[in-house]
Amino acid sequence: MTLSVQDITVKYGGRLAVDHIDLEVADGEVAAIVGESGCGKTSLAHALVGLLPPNAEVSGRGVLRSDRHPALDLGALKDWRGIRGRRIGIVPQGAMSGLSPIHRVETQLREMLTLHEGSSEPTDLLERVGLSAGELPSYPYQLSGGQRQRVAIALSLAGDPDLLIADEPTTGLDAVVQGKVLKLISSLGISTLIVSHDMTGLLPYADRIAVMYAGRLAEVVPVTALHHGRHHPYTAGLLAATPSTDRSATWASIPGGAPAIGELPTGCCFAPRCPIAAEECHTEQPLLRVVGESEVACHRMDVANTATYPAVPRATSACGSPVLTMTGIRHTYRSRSRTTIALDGVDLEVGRGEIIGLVGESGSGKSTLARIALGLIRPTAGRVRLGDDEVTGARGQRLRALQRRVGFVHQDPYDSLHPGMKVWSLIAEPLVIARVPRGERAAKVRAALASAGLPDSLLDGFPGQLSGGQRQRVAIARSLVNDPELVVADEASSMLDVSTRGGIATTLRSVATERGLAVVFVTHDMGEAIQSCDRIVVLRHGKVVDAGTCSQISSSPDHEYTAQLLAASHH
Amino acid sequence: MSAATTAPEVVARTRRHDLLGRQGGVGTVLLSLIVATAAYGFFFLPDGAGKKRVGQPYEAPSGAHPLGTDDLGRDLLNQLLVGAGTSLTLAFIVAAVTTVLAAIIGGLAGIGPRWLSATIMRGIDVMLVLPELVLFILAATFLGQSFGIRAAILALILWPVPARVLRAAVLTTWSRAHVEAARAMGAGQAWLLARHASYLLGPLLVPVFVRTAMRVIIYDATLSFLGLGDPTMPSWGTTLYWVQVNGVFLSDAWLWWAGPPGLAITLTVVALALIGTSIEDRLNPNLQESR
Repeated sequence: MTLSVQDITVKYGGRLAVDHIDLEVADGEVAAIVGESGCGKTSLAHALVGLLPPNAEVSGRGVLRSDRHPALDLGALKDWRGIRGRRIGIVPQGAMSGLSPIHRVETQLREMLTLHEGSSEPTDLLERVGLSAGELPSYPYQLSGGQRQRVAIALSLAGDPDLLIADEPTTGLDAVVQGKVLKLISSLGISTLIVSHDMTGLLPYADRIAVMYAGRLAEVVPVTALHHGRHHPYTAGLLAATPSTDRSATWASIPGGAPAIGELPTGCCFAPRCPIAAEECHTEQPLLRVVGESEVACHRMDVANTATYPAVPRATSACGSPVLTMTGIRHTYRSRSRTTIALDGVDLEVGRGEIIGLVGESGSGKSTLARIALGLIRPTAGRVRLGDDEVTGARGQRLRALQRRVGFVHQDPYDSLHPGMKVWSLIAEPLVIARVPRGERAAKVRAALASAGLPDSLLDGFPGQLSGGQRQRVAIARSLVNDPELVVADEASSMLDVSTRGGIATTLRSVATERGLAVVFVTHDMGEAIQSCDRIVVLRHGKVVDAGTCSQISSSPDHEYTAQLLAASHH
Repeated sequence: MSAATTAPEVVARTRRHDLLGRQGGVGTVLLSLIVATAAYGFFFLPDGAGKKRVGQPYEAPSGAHPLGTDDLGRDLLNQLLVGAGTSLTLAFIVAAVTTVLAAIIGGLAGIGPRWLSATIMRGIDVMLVLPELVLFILAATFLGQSFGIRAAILALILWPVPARVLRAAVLTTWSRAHVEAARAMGAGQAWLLARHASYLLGPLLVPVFVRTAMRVIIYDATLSFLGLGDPTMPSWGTTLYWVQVNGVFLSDAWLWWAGPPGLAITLTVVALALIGTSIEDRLNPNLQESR
């Protein structure tokens, strides 16, 4: 055992964030702590390396053993010098943007080697992470995201640690690169603890997965046993909630949302969202016990296989007349020194009742295209038509009148809702702007709220009191309230938890069907697009490389790049 | 994610309750005392106090004239009290005008068309390279010394720096997601400003106001000291001007003649600086991070 965590508890001002966790990491094993935001996984990892904020209280033991050093109790440790970096290597969250922008890679590696008295050379470290010595004189800005993450991993290896802790090592990377980085981490041969929200992405690379929910372990399972046998309903739910690129597989969502810290229900924390919860689940907290090859904390393991979650519906009707027509869209961003071509001759047509998936990685121009459709950006060339009206040449009053016929769901549900406006005024804002008579507003707001799947009771609240999923539903309600012809959802689910993404897609589908809306769904997740859209347009470097119905794209992609994207998100 | 989003909200809440902090509290108390003094000078002293001859020239402090008298036998304490009113009124009027000017020009540079923005920014750059004080002295020499003209000159000289700051703030605000969402709804600029940007930009005007007031106090005192103020109107700078003209520094009289107005200027500037920096520390998101 390299690391054995015994009974670790973390509290923030009396509020329980991590509740008596036991976990072991064997020599050379890649273990992963998986869970959604707020489940306590990062608190646990930070507790192990003494990086919690001062208001946190930690109890319990974390014993670090190795053949080279005496055993060490991380729980009782006060002086972390010589521990972090030398015994435990850390790849912090967002490590790739944490590199010094003004020092060369070599200087940064040497600094770490000097600091931790490492014996290797910068070249060796780069070689271990799959970079050539040619990158030594580079500055971080000259490297791609994946390369920078590799440098961050090389930095954590400088002190030759016994244990590597990687916190969300793939956040901010494109799907294709994510796999490569995880593969690298798993091939290092060091005992590793990965903290991640993306369970399915880890499957090919981790040995064991610990699923956390609301500060407790729901299940600890070897990866090989994950796809058969009985599992915790939450684990099963997470698997079902990850969109598959296989169109025949269903995509589900777990209803409700995770409890906030300090507001844990009695009994099993997952019981309020669990499809098979029984009476005892609400009263008595289940303990981890061995079931088959895994350890599961659930009272209902005997019926665990019957747990099913609501599936995201597919299109039922054929699409109608075109609502949005974009032809020959070209857009260039000009700065002083260079011109960047964001879009280069893109055509797009969206019909009534149809959901179009606009798929591409960062820098593909998908967000620019969405903003052109919204009239926020004027394209350099090309035409945009909304119904029978020309958007491209419109300015001032006429443009704003056209914009009122389009709904917009922004990527970031935390920033896209004015924090000082109540939910009611947020949803009614498009009506106020469009000068809809006061008497008609109430009915429209309530109808939009219902379409977005929210209860009326939220109308008096402020967005600060809502969860991410609820906030995004408010944003959807706001986009629907003025009866638009088109809704543009820009990465609408990318900042949400896996378990709630399907719910947003379900909502979008139902409004597309019920209200005959055309929806442009921008996403970087191929699986999500295949599961929730009717047609997919794949963008790369500002050009459409592939387009077709979801089943065409998923079964027989025309372009090599589409195939790569499919492979990267295939689980 | 929930931990990450609740944390700033908690910070925001505690911040609102504690807008000034101890440092700003001290500044506020100081400034209130000075304003109260000025108010006393304005409302309770008889007309012409500090302007009329009330005693012998060069009197040392006594019960009748606690700070003595100047070369014309005018009461120095009265001059100090009436001068407080002059200096503070000028400071606040100019600060208000400058803030409004900076907000309008900075806002136009932020959201106006590209050519307007470029013109304004280059104009500001030109203003910034001109030496403010020399410009101010020259303008005051040729345009006259009345209160209104001094206020106008100061406001015209002081707006460029805050306008630049506010333009940057407007640009940041305009890239916020909820502003973009409102723009996509077809909201006009006025709506965006009133509903979405005001709560982000409004707080930034406070430090602009306070800092400008501080600089006005200094510039006005400088000008009066150089004899470019209104010599008949008692003000802190004018008193210092007479100190210099009469060579008071050669005698003991500087202690009660030059000392009080000098101290008053220093205290006012310190008070404004304390308030300004502590408010800015709390409201400026960039400084927020480094705290």
